[in-house]
Amino acid sequence: MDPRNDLDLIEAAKAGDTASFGELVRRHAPRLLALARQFVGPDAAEDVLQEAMVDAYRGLPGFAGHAAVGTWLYRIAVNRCLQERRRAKPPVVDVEPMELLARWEDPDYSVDPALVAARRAHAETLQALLGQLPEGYRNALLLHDGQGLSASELAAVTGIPLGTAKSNIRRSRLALFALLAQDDRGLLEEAR
Amino acid sequence: MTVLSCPEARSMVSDYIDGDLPPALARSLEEHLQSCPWCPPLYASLVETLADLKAHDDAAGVERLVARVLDAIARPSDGP
Repeated sequence: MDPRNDLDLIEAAKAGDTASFGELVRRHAPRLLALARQFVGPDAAEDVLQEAMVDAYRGLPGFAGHAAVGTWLYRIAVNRCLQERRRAKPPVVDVEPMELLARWEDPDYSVDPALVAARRAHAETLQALLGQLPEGYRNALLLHDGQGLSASELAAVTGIPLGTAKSNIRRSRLALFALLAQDDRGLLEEAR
Repeated sequence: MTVLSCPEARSMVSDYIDGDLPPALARSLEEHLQSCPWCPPLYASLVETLADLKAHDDAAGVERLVARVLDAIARPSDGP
């Protein structure tokens, strides 16, 4: 493993050493690939990340070290993923999030765990439901629960206030679950 | 200890999952989840659902990506 730290690699890449930039990409690629696969799917993930890393390479002269190198690369990748997602699949929001959240306030609200488990067993069901949620909710689920970003990291990479990020984390979880657990025969058949 | 209603308890589960709930409220929520007939299946299913969203590493694509990026930036128009 290359013993140089990320800033050393950045400086070498700025001076024209592309192999150092390659090492930087190698170091951060597992997390970036996981991110891109969730946002744009496995088929488009490497194309989108290649574009993002070329963006980063072109942006090297402007990198001043105010953010950690990993955070900087991550932010560039998130931006590319969001662009691709909007381009490839314009969001179709056909659920009412407040109605989903209101179910949790009903003291009688409960679920059939077996039904929820059956639906969860199909990865495409969760992906389809994520696609029905507002973009802010979807980003919260994919970046906080999927990628492990903190609320402040979520706010930073998506450009929203911290309070909104925290609210989106709470609401998106309850909304996704209520959507997954609702007694909808079409979804049930899909899950089977 | 505060006795929580179901809606109160449910409004706290997200912060509880993240470990962001103050200790006294966390204990109240845990007490509610011990005694409530309705909330435990909701909570357990929610936790399992969120776990399904967790991304998995795929090291196989790493070297392919590095090669693609180095190839792309080697083109004359892609200098820093």
